[in-house]
Amino acid sequence: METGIPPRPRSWLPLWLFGILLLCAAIVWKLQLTQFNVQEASEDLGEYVSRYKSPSFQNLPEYLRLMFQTVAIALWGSGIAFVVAILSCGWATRNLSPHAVVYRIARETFSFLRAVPDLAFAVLFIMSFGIGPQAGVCALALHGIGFLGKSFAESLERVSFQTYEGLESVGAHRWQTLVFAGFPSIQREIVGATLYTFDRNVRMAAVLGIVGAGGIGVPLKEAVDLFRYSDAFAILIVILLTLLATEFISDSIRRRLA
Amino acid sequence: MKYAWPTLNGQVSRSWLAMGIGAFVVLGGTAATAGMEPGRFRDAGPHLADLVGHLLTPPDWQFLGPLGAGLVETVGMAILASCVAIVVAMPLAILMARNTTPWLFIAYPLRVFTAVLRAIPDLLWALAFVAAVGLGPVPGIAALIVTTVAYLAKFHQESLDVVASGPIEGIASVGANGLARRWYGVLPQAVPDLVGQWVYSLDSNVRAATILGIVGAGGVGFDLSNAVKLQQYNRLGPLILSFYIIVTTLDRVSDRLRRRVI
Amino acid sequence: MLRCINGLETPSTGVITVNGIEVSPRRLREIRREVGMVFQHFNLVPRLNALTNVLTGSLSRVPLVMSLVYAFPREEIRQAERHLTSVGLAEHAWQRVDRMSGGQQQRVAIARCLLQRPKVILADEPVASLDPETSREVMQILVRAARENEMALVVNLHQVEIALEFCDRIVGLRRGQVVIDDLAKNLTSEKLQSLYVPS
Repeated sequence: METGIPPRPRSWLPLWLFGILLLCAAIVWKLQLTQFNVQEASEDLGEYVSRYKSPSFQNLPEYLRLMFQTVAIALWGSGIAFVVAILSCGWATRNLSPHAVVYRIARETFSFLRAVPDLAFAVLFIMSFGIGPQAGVCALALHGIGFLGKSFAESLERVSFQTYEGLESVGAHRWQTLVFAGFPSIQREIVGATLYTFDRNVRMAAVLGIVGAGGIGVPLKEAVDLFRYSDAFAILIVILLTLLATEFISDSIRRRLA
Repeated sequence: MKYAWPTLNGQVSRSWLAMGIGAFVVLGGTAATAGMEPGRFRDAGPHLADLVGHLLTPPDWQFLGPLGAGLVETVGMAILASCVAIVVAMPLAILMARNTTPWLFIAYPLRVFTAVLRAIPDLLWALAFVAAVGLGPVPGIAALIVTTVAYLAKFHQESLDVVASGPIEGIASVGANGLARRWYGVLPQAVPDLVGQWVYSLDSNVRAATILGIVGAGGVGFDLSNAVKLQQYNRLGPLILSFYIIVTTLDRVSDRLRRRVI
Repeated sequence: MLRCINGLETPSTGVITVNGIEVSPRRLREIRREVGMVFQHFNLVPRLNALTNVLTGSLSRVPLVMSLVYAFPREEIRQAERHLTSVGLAEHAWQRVDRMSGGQQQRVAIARCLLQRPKVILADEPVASLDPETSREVMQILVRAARENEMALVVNLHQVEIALEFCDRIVGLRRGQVVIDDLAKNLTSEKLQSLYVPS
């Protein structure tokens, strides 16, 4: 019986799946992963996990002090990033930027600061500052400027143009338009992005210590390197609890301010 | 005073004042711990200037070959990790979401479990895995898989939970059983979100993979830490630049991917 | 056309002069200070309260740095409060404007215009978004305010009856050409409707 319905259009899905499988196979081959014996590795892993028997809190005061330093690094990094981003996001906003060239330069700068991993910046700063928290603060600040700058600029661009027009029509200066029409309209986005950055920075600050940029990463790396697993376990617990605490605090701040 | 504010009593609003003072107190109190001493910065100034100058020197052309290989390895790690993570995260998310889980009492423990997994930064996982199985891309891929599964499962679970109930009721009304309801009712609605999250995970993993090498877990991070230790400035420039290029290309590719699928 | 006068749009040909100053990007702030505008969609800042919105009218003449922290000279604030009262919104001074009705928002916009102390007020379809009763209220307030403060008022309308009731002089444009230019009392409803009839 002829129904007049055209034949089902060819679906590209199987082709995609096959392509991805092929890609993965290629990667496994390229990275010589087949040398990797899964059985051996799981045994290694099992044995490794068993080393973390029980956490040893004998150095707890030291860990707490360094955890506090980690949070301090995150606070300063986020704080500097916030201030600089607020002051400079105006240039990266298409409808508020004085010139198309300025806009492009500002946007690309934010993109660049965002794209380079914090750790790369940290490593570079350690070359100038030496080991210590300053490198961590600067690395987090730079990356934060990129993220917040771009985020604020994009939020500003999403504000209805009518709001800006009203202020332009009274002869307001560009900065006044930004302060009166722009920022009040994106308050919620500013709070969200800044708190997200702070959360992320606490996490990153813990990690930056591994390369020497201060904070709790320093004793952690030491513990792992020297095979002192119960110490490492304890440090991990401290980090975990602090991260959960900061997430909780920023969630409550977000709820109150939004 | 000649000036006033547009508030009821003409002064700066109480909450703004509180926030300002709060920020001042918090930053001031932590300044010492965070090492914010002007002296340190003044001393570092000339070093920084030197560094920037060095970064802009002509690159080490011979390095570009190994750099390219390293980049390929990095991206390969990320792709592999994402693929495996997607496959693992899907069933996990289905078990974690209220809409699709066959047994509610395992949904919540699973959520807590993945939250804990998520809280540990990927570099720490990499550090742990390197200590367990040795150097190379394998611990890096494993670390990426663990963290990606953790956040992918959570994102997926959230997408599955906010699916509209209309279509599900429609399917239930024709007498479909639980499995059919989930397969035809819940899953198809969440697909655009899920695919977007997959693309995001690929993007995020490439960024992460560039760094894991610092602890020896494969990728260009290793070259970075080497170049720093040996002060090979002519390699640092191209390294940093390559990070930038990778990430921006990736942004554009993932944008295009996302648009094609949605 | 109205938006060309204060530089919100650029004319495709020709030049506009305001108070002897040619409209160009460099002198925009000067020009805009003298030209106040009332928009169809009010163009207020939704999350700010009415008083602050009115105060933005003075931004072109208050000191820049202080204004960036929302500090205004006391005299301007008092003036703003007076203008708000004159449009009948005294009790709503602290309310967020996105919680107000269309008519109330337009009145805030008028108050903002007044604080600006322009020589000319341009109103671009000021009542197109309002219902008929509110439209007449708002037009009344607008015309009265312009008269009391000795400001010229140019209104861009398509409601023929409102134009006849409130305006002194009416200019009709069709396809960019001036077709009617006369005192309102010499015109009738039919004559104006002819503008809209295809010929």
